[in-house]
Amino acid sequence: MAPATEVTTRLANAARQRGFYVSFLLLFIVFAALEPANFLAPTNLRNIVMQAMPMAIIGTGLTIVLITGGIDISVGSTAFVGVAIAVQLILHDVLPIPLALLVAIAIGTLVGCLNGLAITRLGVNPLITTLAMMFVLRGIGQYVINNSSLMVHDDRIYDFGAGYVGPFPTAIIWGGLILVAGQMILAKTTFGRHAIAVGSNERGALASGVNVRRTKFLAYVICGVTASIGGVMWFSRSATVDPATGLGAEFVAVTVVVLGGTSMAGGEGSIIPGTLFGALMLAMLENGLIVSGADPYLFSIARAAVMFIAVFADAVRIRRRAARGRRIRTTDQRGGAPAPTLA
Amino acid sequence: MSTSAPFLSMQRMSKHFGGVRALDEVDLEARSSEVLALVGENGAGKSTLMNLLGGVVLADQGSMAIEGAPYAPKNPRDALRVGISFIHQELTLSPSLTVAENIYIGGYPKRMGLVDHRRIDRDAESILARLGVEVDARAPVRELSIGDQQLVEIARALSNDVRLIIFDEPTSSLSVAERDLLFAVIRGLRDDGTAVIYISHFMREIFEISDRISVMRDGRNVGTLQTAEANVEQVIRMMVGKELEGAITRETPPKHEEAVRVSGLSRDGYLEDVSFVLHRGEILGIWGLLGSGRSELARAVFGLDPVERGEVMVDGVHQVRLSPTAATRAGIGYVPENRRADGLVLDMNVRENITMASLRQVTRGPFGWLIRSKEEQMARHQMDRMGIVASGTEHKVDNLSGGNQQKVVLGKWLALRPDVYILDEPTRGVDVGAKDEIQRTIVAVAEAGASVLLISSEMEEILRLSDRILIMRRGEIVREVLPGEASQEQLLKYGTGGI
Repeated sequence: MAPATEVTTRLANAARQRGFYVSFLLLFIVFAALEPANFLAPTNLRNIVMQAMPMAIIGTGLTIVLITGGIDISVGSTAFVGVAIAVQLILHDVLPIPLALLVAIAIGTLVGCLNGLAITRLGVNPLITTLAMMFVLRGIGQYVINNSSLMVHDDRIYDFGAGYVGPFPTAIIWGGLILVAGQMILAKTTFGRHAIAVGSNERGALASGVNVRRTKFLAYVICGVTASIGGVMWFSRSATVDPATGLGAEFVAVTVVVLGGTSMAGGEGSIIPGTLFGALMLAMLENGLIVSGADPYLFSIARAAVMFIAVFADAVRIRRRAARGRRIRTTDQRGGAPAPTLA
Repeated sequence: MSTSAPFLSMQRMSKHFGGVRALDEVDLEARSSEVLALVGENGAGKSTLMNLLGGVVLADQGSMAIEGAPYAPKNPRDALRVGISFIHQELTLSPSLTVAENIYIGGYPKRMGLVDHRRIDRDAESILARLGVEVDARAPVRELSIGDQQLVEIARALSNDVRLIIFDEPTSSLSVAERDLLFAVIRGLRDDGTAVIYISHFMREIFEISDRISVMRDGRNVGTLQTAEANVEQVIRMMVGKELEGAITRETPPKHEEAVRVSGLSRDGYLEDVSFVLHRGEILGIWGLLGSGRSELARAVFGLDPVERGEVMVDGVHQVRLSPTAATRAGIGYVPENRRADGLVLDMNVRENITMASLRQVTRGPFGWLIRSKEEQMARHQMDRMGIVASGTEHKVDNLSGGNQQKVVLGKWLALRPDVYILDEPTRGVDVGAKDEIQRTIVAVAEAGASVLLISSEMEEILRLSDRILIMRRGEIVREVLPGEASQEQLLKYGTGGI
């Protein structure tokens, strides 16, 4: 009984999202028709998936934050500052490469904790908190690398995010592990259930004994962790960090997440398939434009258009949901005392 | 009066939501210069029928006509265009705008490009005068009482040239005087030729105000009566379709052990030095009028509202920081007054709502891994126990009737098996059958040794279930009475501060 209904729910959700998946397919067909030899080459397709991974990883934690009804636009700077510090630790021979990269992730975790504390304990608006964090971290990172471009000359760097285990690219292995773990946390754990409940009806969750503060706090911590892992993946491809690393990534990440059907209003969304396909879509768009020889400046415009369409589609969904809530009811609508809401 | 041709006629209206049949070939007529009462238990289909009328939901089948002309609204604007207005329980005025600004919010008359305030004030005054209402058209709405705000809503409907006006449970938050004024206004509208549909649970009001009564049950119109020829028992029989259950008897008396001790709880403007003891196996009734602090007390004990002074002890353990999470962990369950806002996550299904407070019981390992089969079993068990009617555990709670939703809220706490239940209006707005089932469940948990703090505005319910009754007024407990020696008149007397 349970699996059958679960499948139906999944199918229903997919149908609601079908506009996105149809567009995904159409875009694929268009590029395949324009540039069959280059675009459809197995190495190119694999490249698309590899390209998509860092953003999908950053989007993993961000998806959870958005589902709780929050937002984190510090993810690009979080990725940057972790890598910046790790690079200096490596270049000054303070730590071996693996440990330095772990430090980057530890820094991301710390950033997530700070965001979470400011939002849940001090009650500062999430957008403002993470906006401030975005600038602060960008500044710290640029200070750490003396506002210059730094490169680590050690081939072992590439092993992490740009190497292969047998025939499998490490980028896809890491991405797969993190995305699957994220989706499992969301769909199969108490925390994930609480996150959805908080985003869907915070007052209801609170009055059911859900620890709303802790749930939100954890969401930001996870977001900090995945943002810094995404940063490590980027770094591992070029072994380079410069003042613009991760600049503007927060907006791409939000696009990817919302494109995959996670609502800006909270309460619904998925990492797999949602955020994964959102990231694949953007990577495919970029790759397709490049292989079909389009002007590189076009990409920024295309990405902006996709972001707008994704957020617009979400707005339409939110409106529909609100319209359902407004249905006339005969007796259930007596307003209780207004509840004090936690941030 | 009721011989005129129908203003509205609905024929064979049907509607399904998912697998649930909400309406089954319903016919209904509303006539000009007449008040039609629409009654039925929750889930009987009244709301759906009115949603079809208002263009909020589209019918699967059936047709509607306004004065003989086909009427098929696609959205609420279409309803407004033919002169249909709804006055909801939940008011839709903008608090910071004035009365006149609210009345004409649909389109202001302009003078030199600016809102012609002199004109809207004057027009608003004439409409208010026509209603016989003494409200200052220039006053901001937030300064008005709930009753006056409702009258302003009616005035707004009149400014739109209303032909049919639907009142949806309009009196539940009104004082007696406000209610009498509302009824006078409704009679005035009727005498001016307006058609009125009046939805209510209160039999006395229905018999006082209506000319005809249409009764709905299980998505059908089971009959329409001339009010003058009908009686209350007849209507209730039609609503319920079965005989009412008898009284509930307690087998085991409450024990003397203390379960909860509340001392000196105070919150400025809401609670004034509230102290009481709740014993094991006891149902302690809290009765008071709206605004007496009864709901605020519930919210404070559960940790939802902050308190300035006072303490709560559960099982002899002092609760240092009151919060819903701490309260739940200490073994307190809370059924809120407003189930849609506080009791349920409407976008989630029955299973997810029932397990919400007890996820710990259906998980494995340190990461809180949910076990689907255990969740399913927990939800199924509560559905059976509470008699929740839904297509299954995956049914979205938003699509359930009020009574079934309330059973889900209660089921959520039964699943946790707390030692203490705080129930704020546990049977509000549910149908007679569900009410009886919920009341029996309340007695059953007390019999099993749990303690219940029962808050209700219904005197019958308080008198029927409580072992002791505390009466609240203006944030204070003013009296303790025993149900055997108290009458409804006495509750009212202490609750209102003497007559």
